[in-house]
Amino acid sequence: MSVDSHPCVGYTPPDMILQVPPAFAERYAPLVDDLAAFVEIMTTPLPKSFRVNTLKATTDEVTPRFSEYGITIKQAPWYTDAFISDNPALGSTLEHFLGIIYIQELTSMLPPLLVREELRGARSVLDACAAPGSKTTQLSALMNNRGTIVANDVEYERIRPLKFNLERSGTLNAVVTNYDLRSFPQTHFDVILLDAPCTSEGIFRKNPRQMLSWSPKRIAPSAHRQKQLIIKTFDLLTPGGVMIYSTCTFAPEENEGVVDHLLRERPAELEPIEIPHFRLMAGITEWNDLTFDARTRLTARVLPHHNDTGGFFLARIKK
Amino acid sequence: MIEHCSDNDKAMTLEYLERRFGLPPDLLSDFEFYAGPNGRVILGPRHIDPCLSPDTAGLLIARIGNSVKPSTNLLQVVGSLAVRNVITLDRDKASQYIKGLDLKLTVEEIGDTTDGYILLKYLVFPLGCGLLQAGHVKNMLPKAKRLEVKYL
Repeated sequence: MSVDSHPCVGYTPPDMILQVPPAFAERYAPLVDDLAAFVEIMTTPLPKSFRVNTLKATTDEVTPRFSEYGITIKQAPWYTDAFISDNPALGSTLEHFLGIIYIQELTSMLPPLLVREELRGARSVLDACAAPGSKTTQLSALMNNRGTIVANDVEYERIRPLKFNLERSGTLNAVVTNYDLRSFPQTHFDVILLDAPCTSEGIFRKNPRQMLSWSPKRIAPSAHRQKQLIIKTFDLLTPGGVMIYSTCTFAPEENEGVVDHLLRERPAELEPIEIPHFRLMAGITEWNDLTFDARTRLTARVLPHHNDTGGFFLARIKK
Repeated sequence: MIEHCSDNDKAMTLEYLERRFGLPPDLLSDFEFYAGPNGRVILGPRHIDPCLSPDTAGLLIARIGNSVKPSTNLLQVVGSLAVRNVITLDRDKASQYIKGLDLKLTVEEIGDTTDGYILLKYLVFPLGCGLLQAGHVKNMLPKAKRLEVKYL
């Protein structure tokens, strides 16, 4: 189906604006606190953002350079290394060329932040679905290039951009692997990020065309795979270790439902999530005819209209 | 499993970096040297779980053929510590280098730099590697890294 003929299309050129599929809005009406604000922001372009790569420079060194360029940047109130800009030229700066800044979505910066303390002493870290490397390079910066990060991705064609981004950012403590997680060798890690493949409903602002292919039928198979991945990943965690399960989708089946599956199958514990100056919505325990473990309240959902970001889900899991 | 670099190749790389750029030999001592294909020398984490079969590890820092060729990746990471065979470019030439063009330098720009691999800088920023031969700099920036930079 062409974009022009799709029922989601409200107005086309010069800047194609898509409307949120009515079935999507209807599905998530019970989940969100302000449906009108949620729906409205989903068709608003996502602000550009970047992270200062502290392996190469400090924020104090970088910010004056952008002033000289006349590019307005605004520091995120919840992360000193994160900046927002409405200028599309970030990718044409010397700092981008040198890997001093890493253009990265704000929500993508959240999982490494949640294990910031653990990373300081971690000897082994797994970024289980690592490509294109945004979180891996952030992990490396938070670890100051110490310890070992295994940056894994199942899709071979995504390994090349992953390597490129690791090189550009000066990441020295990472090794790249290309396993299907379900057959990952049985070893152990102190910290694991599982940013699982998902239906990506949270990136509609970044890529509005995703709305055209949205269908609730994609949720169940995605959740099925995520349940396999979360069990395998938990089994790779050192006793006492911490893992972050995250997705960029709203569907409770892919979020609380997957965490609930882990809690039923393994002796996992959830830990509360708090990010000062960043608004999170607590996880839910009921969705349609599903009832989740009461501990899933400790998970967190990022709604786009709360912080002017994409959508995201986070769970902090202890073994 | 990724192989460790031979002692000879590691020593040759460190000796070259010290002789050519004045980089101290213990600069990279927190990391391990690994051997990549075709004479590549890779700098990576000290510990890699032996049960893993990595696709790659760390950063390509040099290639050893008839001589040692340092990588742009390495020079961008440690180049601020280099004390010789460093040429600082003006804005226009820095922009040309980042775009991937070869450069023609003046005698003043070359100063006491000798022919061979050099580090090119702009302001305080190490940009990458070039090959200086009789006043001409061959651009050694990998094609994938080349960029039309508007702000510098």
